[in-house]
Formats: sequence, C-alpha cells, structure tokens
Amino acid sequence: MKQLKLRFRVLTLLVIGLLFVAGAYGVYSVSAYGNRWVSSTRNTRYRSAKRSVSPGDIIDRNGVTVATTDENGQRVYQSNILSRSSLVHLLGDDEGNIANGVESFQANYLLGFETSLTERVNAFLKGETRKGDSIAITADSKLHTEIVQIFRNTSNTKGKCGAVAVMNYKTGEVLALVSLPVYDPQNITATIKNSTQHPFWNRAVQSTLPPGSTFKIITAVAMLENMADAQTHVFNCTGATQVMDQVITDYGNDQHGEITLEKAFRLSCNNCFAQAALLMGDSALRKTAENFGFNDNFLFRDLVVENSSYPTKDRNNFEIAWSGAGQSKVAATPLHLCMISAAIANDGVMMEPRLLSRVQSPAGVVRLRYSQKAYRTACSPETAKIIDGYMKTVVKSGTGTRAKVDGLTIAGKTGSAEGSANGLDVTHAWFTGYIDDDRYPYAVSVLVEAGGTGGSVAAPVAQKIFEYLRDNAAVY
Amino acid sequence: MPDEIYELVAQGARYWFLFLMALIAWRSWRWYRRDRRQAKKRLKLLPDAGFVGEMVVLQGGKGLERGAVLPVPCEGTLGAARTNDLCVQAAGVEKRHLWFRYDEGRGLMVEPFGKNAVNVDGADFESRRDPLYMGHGSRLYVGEAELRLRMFAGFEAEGTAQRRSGVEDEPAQQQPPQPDAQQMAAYQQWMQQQWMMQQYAQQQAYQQGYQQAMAQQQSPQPELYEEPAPEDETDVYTYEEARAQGLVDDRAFMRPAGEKKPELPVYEQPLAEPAPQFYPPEMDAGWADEEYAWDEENEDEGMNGDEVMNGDEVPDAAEPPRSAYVGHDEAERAKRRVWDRYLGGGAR
Amino acid sequence: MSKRSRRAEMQAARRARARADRERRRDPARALVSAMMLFYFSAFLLIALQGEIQWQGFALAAAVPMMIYIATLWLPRFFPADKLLLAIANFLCALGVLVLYSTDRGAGTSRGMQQAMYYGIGIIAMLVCIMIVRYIRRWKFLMKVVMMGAAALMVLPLAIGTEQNGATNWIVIGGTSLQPSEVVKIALLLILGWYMSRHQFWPWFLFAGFSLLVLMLQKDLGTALIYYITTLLLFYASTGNLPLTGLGVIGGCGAAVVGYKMFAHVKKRVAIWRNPWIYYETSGYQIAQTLMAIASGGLFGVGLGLGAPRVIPVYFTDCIFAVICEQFGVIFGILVLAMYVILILRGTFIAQSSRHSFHAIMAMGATVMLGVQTFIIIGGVLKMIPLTGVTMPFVSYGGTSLVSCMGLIGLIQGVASVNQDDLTYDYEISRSLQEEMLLPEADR
Repeated sequence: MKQLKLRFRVLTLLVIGLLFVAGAYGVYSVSAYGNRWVSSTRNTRYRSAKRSVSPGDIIDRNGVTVATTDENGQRVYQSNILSRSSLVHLLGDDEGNIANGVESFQANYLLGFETSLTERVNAFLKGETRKGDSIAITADSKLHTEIVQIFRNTSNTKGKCGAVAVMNYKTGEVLALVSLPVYDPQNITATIKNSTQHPFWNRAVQSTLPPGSTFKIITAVAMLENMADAQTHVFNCTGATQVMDQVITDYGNDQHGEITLEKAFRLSCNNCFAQAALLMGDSALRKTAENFGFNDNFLFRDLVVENSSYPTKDRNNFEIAWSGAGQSKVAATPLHLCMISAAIANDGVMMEPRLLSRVQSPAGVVRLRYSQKAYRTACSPETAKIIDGYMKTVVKSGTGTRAKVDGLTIAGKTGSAEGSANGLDVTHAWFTGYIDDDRYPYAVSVLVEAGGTGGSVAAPVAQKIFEYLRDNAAVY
Repeated sequence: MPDEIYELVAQGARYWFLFLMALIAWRSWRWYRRDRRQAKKRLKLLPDAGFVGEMVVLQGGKGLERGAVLPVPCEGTLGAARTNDLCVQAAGVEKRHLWFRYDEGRGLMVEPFGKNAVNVDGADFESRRDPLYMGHGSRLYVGEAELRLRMFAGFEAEGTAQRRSGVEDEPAQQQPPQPDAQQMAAYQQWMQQQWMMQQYAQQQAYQQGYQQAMAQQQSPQPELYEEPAPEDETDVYTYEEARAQGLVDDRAFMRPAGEKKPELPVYEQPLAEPAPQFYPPEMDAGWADEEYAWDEENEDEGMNGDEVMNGDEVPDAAEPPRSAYVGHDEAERAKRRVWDRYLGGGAR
Repeated sequence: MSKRSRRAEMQAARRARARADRERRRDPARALVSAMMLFYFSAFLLIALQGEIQWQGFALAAAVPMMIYIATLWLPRFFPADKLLLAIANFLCALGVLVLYSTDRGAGTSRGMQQAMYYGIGIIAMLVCIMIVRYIRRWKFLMKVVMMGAAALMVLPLAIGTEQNGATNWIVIGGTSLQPSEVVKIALLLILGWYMSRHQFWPWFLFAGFSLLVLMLQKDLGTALIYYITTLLLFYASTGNLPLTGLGVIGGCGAAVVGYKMFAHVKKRVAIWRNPWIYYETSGYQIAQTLMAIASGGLFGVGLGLGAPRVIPVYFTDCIFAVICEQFGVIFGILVLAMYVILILRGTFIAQSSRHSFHAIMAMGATVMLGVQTFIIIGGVLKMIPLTGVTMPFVSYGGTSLVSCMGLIGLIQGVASVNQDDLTYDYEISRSLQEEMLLPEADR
C-alpha cells in the first residue's frame, strides 16, 4: 500500500504536469500567434463585425489618410489610382485578398475590438455609431508611389514582378514595402484575379527566394568570425572548382585567379566563397546565418514575415559550397535581406521592423505608441565595420557601381540568384544596401524576379530610390 | 432584448463571470487544502487507524532489532526496501518479498512475489490455490527473520495459523468435529467420573469445614486484630528482572541470536482428553506443550485478553492489547454521531 | 431578577445564533456551492434575455442551480460522500449545459435541454456506481461476469455498429444511440483494480489487450489511447516495474509509428496538426476554425452568447473548449483547467487515503482516466497534439460520455464513502476509549 501510494503521487504529478503543459502551451501560442490566427482572411468574425462597426482610418507618416470609411460604410482609399495601388499590399483590400495586410492584421484596432466597455457605453448613450480606432503607420505613401513609378519607367524592370523594402536601420521603422505588380483595390477585376503573375502575393514579405550573391555578406561575416586569416587568405579562382564531380562556376564563367576576400566580395566570386564555405564547414556558416535570423520563427509585432531558411538536412559538399554563394535551398524574403544590410549598417544590431506608430481611439485616447526594439545582435561591431568597408567598395568599383549616388556614401551588394519559374531557369536580380549617412539612415533591398543580373537590373532601381530619399527624406 | 444592449450587457457580464469563476476555483482550492490539513491532523490523532495488528520481531537482522514492533495494515507488502509497509531488513529477504491482505474472518493471507520462500508456522507456500493464512499468534519466517503476528481485538480470525484450502471471500465454515459413538461413550464416562470426583471433593470440603467449626466451637478464641503481613516486595519483578533471575523462560518466543530455528511442535488434537473434541480447537492449544512462566490460574484469561495485566505477569509478545472492540450497533451509532459532528455531517 | 436573566438568556441566544451563522458562512461547501449557483443563475438569466425571451432559459436558471444544490449538499445526507468532488463534477456538467444552451440560441437546436436531461441521468449513474462500490463485497465470481459482459459489449459495435466520424463505435438500440467503449471504461477500472490488487497479471492483461484490439478495429484511436495510457500507468503504480513500463511506452510509440505508416487517416491527422492552414479548404478546417475562435476570444472573451462559435465543426463535442475560450476568454479556460486539476488532486487524495488496494487502484484509475482524457482533448484543441475525437469530460455534449464520466466520479465517490466509514469507525473506537469518562452523556 505504501509503495502503491507513493507511485500514485508520481501518476498525479505526471497527469497534472501534462495539463499544466497544455495550459502553458495554450497561453503561449495564443499570445504569440493569436493575432495571426485572428487576422486570417478566413476568419468570418471580422467580416460580420464590419456590418455594425465602421472601421477606423489609416494615416501614413506624412499625415496622409490612406484609408478611411465613407458615410455609406464603404472602405475608401486614396483618390489617386497609382497611390492607392502602390499601397495595396501593405494595407490589404476590403475583400481580404492580401494575407495579413494592415487592414486585417490590425483589425482588432480598426474594428474597435480593443474599445473598453466604458467607451462603448458612452458612445451608446450618446447615440453615436460604433467606430474603430485610427492607426498611424510608419510607411510613406509618396515613396510607395515613387517606387512603383521607378519600376514602371525603367526599361529593364518594366512589367516584371518584384519587391522593394525600405527601412530605417536605426529604429526599425518600415518606410516602404512594395510588391509588384500592383492593382487597384477599389476595382478588382477578373483579369487581376486570374493573372499568372499572382498580384495578390505580397512578395516583399511572402516570397522566399534564394538570395544569391547577397548572401555573401553572411558568408563573409562567417569567414571573419571563424577564420583567423580571413582577410589575407588567398583563394585560387580557376572559374571552375571541382566539388564531388560537379563544378562551381562564376557568373559568365569568369576566372579571377588568386584573390583575397576583399576582391572576391567586390567581384562577387562564387568560387572563392564556395571554397571558404567548405573550409569553414556547414555548421559555422549555418550558425552565422542563424545569427542573422535564418531558420528563426519571425514573430514581429506588426508584420507577418515568411521565415527564411538555411537548409539543415541532406547536406553534401556540393550543396555546402553553393550555400556559401547563397544558392542551394537557402531562401530569404526581400524584407529580411533589407534587415541584413540594416544590421551591417547599425553595427551588427538588427532592429525589429515596425509598422505601427500610433493607435488612437475616436475619442482621442492613444492606445499604443511606437516603441523600437532590437530584434537580435547579428555580429560584432568590428566585423560589421569590415563588411561595411567591403560593401562600399562594391558600389565604388565592383558589381554595384550603378547604385552610386552623388553626394552620398552608398554601401551595397548585388546578387543574381538562379531559380526556376514555370520550369525554366531564370535569374533573379537582387540588390541590398544602405546609405551610410546619419541624416538618411535607410536600408533598401530590391528584388526583380527573373530580371537578370543584380548589378544591371536591381542596382539602378536602388539608385533611384536612394536619390529620392536624398531629395525628400530630410523632412521625416 | 435588442442585440445592441445585449452585447453591452454580455460584455460587461464577462468580467462578472470571470470573477465568479476565479472565486469558485479559489474556494475549491482552499477547500482542498483545508481538507488535506485536517486529514493530516486526524491521522495524528489516530496513529493506529487502519491497522489490523502488529508484527513482533522475534528474530531480526541487520537493520531490524529483535523485539521491534511493526504495525500491520489490512493490505500491504513486506520486504527489505524502506517503501514496504513492513520493512524487514534481514538476510534472505528480497526487496519486495511478499504481500498480505486481511480477509475478514480468516486472518492475514500471505503470498510471496515470484518464487520467494515464505513459511508460516512451519508450512511453506506452495501455490496460489492453497493460500497461507496467519492468525493471532502465527509465526512468519522470511529469510533469516522470524515475526509473530498479534492481531488487534475486533479483527477476529479462526484459531491459529494453519493451511486452509478453499475459495477466498466465502468465509470457511468449519464444522466442529462430530464425535463418534465410541468417543461419546468415553466422554460420558469421563463426565461421570468428573461428576463423582466433584461430589467427592464437595463432601470432603463439607466434612472438613464441619470438623473445623466443631473444633472452633469447642475452643473459642478471642477476636484479635491481626496486623497484615507486609507485602513481599521481592515477589514483584519486572520482566527484565525476572529474565535476569532466570524466572522467565522466553525461549518459546524469543530465540537468542545465532541459535537455530527450534523444532516446532507438531499440531495435534490432544486425543488423550476427549473434551476439546466438541469445540473448535483452542486458540493456543499447541503452546500447552511448551513451558510458560505464568500463573496457571490466569492462563485462560490471559489468552482471551480480557483482564488487566498484573504486575507480576510476564507480558507475552503475542498478547493482544486491551480490548477495543465495539459492538456493531454501537459502532453504527458512533459513526453517525462522528459523521455529524466532526466530519462535516450529512445532516447539516 | 427575572427580567435580567431573560435578557441574559436572549443575549446568549443571539450570540449562539451569530456563532452558528459564522460557522455556516465558514463552511467551505456552502461558500463554494453558493458561488456556483450564483454563476449559473446569472449566466442562464443572461442568455434567456438574448433576443426573443425564452422561458426555457428561465427554467434552466432555476433548475441548474437547484440541481447543483441537490447533488452537492442534499445527496450526501444519505451516505458519506466527498462534497468537493461532487461540487466540481457538477460545476463542469452545468458548464456544458450552459455553453450548449448558449450556442443553441438562434441555431434551432436543443442540445442544452438534452444535456440537462443527461446531467440528471448522469447523477443517477453516479449513485449506482457509489452503491456498487459501497455494497458489493464479493467480487470474485462477479468480476468474471463483468469481464464477459464488458467484452461482449465491446464487440457489439463491430457486429451491429454504425459509423460516425470515421469510427465504428456506436450502436443504436431502440432509437437511442450508445457508445459501448464509454461504458466499458467503468468495467475496465473494476477489472484492473480487482486483479491488480490480487497481483494477478493475466486476467486484466488479456482483457485490456482485447479491448485495445477491438478499439483499433473500430478505429476509435482516441479512446484506445485513453485505455492504453490508463492501463499502463496503473500497471506501473501496482507493480513498480519500470523496465516493463518502459517497454510499454516504447511499444506504444512503436504502435503509433506503425499506425502512422499504415493508416492514411492517421497520416492526415498528423499533417493537419503540423500545419492546419495549408489544408484549410479540406481537412484542416476544423482545427483552423478552433484556433481562430480561441484567439478571437482573447483574454476576457467576446461575451456570453456572442461570437461565432457555430462555424467550428462539431463545436458541441470535440471543440467545446474552444467555444468556452471564445465566449469567456483564455483566462476562464485556464481556470476551467484548474478545476480539472483540483479534481485530479482530490481523486488522488481519496485513492491515497483508501485502505484496500482494490479501491485505491480503482479510484486512481478513474482519476487518471479523466485527467488523460482532458489532456488529450484540450491538447488537441490547442494544437499541441494531433486532434483525436474524444469528448471533454463532463462538458461535451453526449449522453454516453456524460454518464460514463459521472460513473467514474461515482467510483471515486464510492471509495471515498468507504474510506469515510473506515475512518469514522477508527475515530470512534479511539474516542470511546479516550473520552468515555471525560464527556457527559448529552455531549457525546
């Protein structure tokens, strides 16, 4: 009996432990993923709530009202078609075609779910119609319009799909998240719905593509952290490194001969980084990549970002070598690449991207104010300084010279990632970089899907964005 | 109620519901804690609650002193590990050696785990179909250890330990052996003898008394106050003193360490005297052969355990404590009373 | 003089009344049950006022608190029972009635009223189980009868069963449908308790193995899981044989892996569990809606009778916890979980204070079974483990489930009453020895 009863205690602890874990898991998952579940476009609750509540306004960083509700209860966006189209992926439309746009992700504010009971009773006694809170976002409507125009006016990018992310690397404010093609949220036609370009897809945060050479930023950080002689080590680039009976080639089959890291970074030499990846080994490279947020579960407060991945399974030397050059199932979103160069610019500290700057109730009560938070420390300030120098030489005299802007120091890295679309091999053009200037602390990343090389397609787009920021951003 | 107002009321009410729920959970928790505390207190008040008897260690081992008393619950295990109900640490005792259960009316059933050896009053355990039962005074041999069971009053068991075959849970109904004609005749003869002897003794006593009275009448003596003789204090011994002086022979139940297990007397019905044939065998009939150092007069009462122990008696290891037996009616009434007063009461 | 003495008398009486009042207020049973009655009274009243006023709501507002009062404070007058356990079980049953009734509004169903009826039947089932434990002493032959009967009942659905949600575990007798595996739970506990307390291995092992096999054939995986875990844990408790228990755990995991490889529907369940959103249009719909419901409730819920609980498939049985969380909030849900925890603690307490290992194992088994079932369904609803179709004890809609859960509570209650009798007996023995001379007759 004594033994039996002692073991009963074990049983009870076990069962209660299970229930405790279930409860803790429930609380955790609701607090971490709750607003993601709720803001799902499939949630019918908000749709029914819209019948009785008029959703609040959305205001951009310059005070422009980008979304409001008219007297008939219809959701109205900016009057200019181009302006409202360029913001469509950030905000979402009334039909809920865009996943996790501000309209759905912040619906608990916009539809007044956070309104306290006293406020509601007051409003009811005064006979007012129910109105949701208004939201101020950090994005810039004009910048969005400009970016869409740049994409449309540049011959290389015209009609192509792509994405642009612009953020302040010191505070984490997101200035622009543009995904192309755009469409008019107030006139959704069947052509848009059936388009093969998938215009409802928010490419800036949802499409994970191989980052190509832009990933060499991370490989270089890993080399500096793991190889004592990283800056002086001489690699031999024959243009065709044999790995497991297969060959690593450079873009355009270049041969660079004996080069060091700096030159390899500047010329974006695949062979050099492949050899370095093999030298360091997979785990060292993966650790650095994970420091930069790969394989992490992004749970940002205002944005739902697809997780970036650095492969952990089925690794052989050929795969590892290509990983050093950002291929072989390594995948990241444009916003994440923007965050990576922002981390380099911000001395290795990666800021959490924020979109919400203020939430205000109809009666003027401020419910939420902007607060910045570091997301993670990606690398040491010294390493960031060295990489910063490399990235500047890329723009000065390397593959990214077309991103050069008069009067500003630009640092950047181009990328030409090989992927496939509709069964055809295509090259995605990448550029990620930032302005090294305290007046304009902005990081930019540009993706042009199936665009060609990063240096010739993505860099000019980035250049025009930098110029626009230089001319207009002083007012922020 | 219009939906608008209902929504406001329901949204206000959710705080009320949450408050009540928290109150309910808190009160349940507090009640649970309180009851646990009370249960602990109650167990302290009743140190012998749930026990049917005691095991006295006649022969212990390394971790078990001779003479130690282990309380026996109505179900449990015996073994060398501390988590057993009866922890017997002696050579040859397994961690979990045997388990036992009190069967109403039949005594303590003993069954080993696996192939462990168990012996009760000389009978080895053989199979589950033929379980071993221990009664009041039975001896249990496990490994090197030897234990004697004494049951508390109220937990009746039939006689001493012996093997009983039969189905469990149906009280064995042993008919007292019926005498045959020959035995009957012998008994009647014996009874007659007894009666005659009694008559004779009475006559003798009467005659003696008559003679004494006559003698007193012939020589009457003045009534004098007689100082009572001082009590002989040397007569009163404690058990230890008695043992030291060799007045007690406790070989019967306490064997000096190292000595071998004594040959147990074979249990036999004393056929020489026909009388006991009519009744179920007496509880300690077998012990009559062994030498005991107590008063012949008090023997019967001592075994029944009804009388108060005298100072000059040797406490026997297997003697039950004072009776605590309560009749069924009384117990039932008591139950209700306590239930009402102390345990929260159904009546209230 | 007389005046003064009368005044003193009156004062004394007043004081005595005040003391009695204080006592009554301090009585935990009264405090708890009054809070429960208040809760249900106000909740049913609120729902009755929603939209068109319904007399049923008022009837329930009176009947449910009355039922709780009768079942927790009045029933134990006739036999010693554990009032806390009764109170918690009744609270949970009534919560089921409340939630079902609130989801009935505007849906045209009458599950709430039916559940209230089942609740009454459940109380009767509990009483029957208490009687069984309390008054049946000679089990030796009866246990074999129970075993045969339970095995026959278990097999019945294979012969004349109907399929429901992919599992063939229902039989229909005269218009009422019945789930034998729920009723067999009680028999299983009796059998496990009896043979484990007698240290006999094969009888219970064969029975448990047989019922597991039958459950597998019926594809009732959730119930099979409950049976398996309960049996394994009780085996551990009664023998303490860690190697064999470990083997059982490994065997269970192996069976799970084999099941995953062999059965397509198990694979589907696991895939849904890992990411329900990509199967939203088809099989992941239920769990996705469940998560949305829980999350949209937030900390404090959307309010009783509000929200959209009916979009969740089978919201009334499997996913009723999600409905509770949506209407009352996550904090409330956690507190409901806490009630289950107290129930389990209390069950263990009763099992530990039992003197007979038959009773102890039985009570502990019932407790573990309820706990495991709660974990399986709540973990499933919260997407912690794959969702299996078991009911939430006491709360879910369904007569068989409610009756079997109340039966389990009845087993525990029966053990509690036997404990109480034993303890009272002992208490009285020692008291009569100690206090016979000290207390006057009137005070005894």
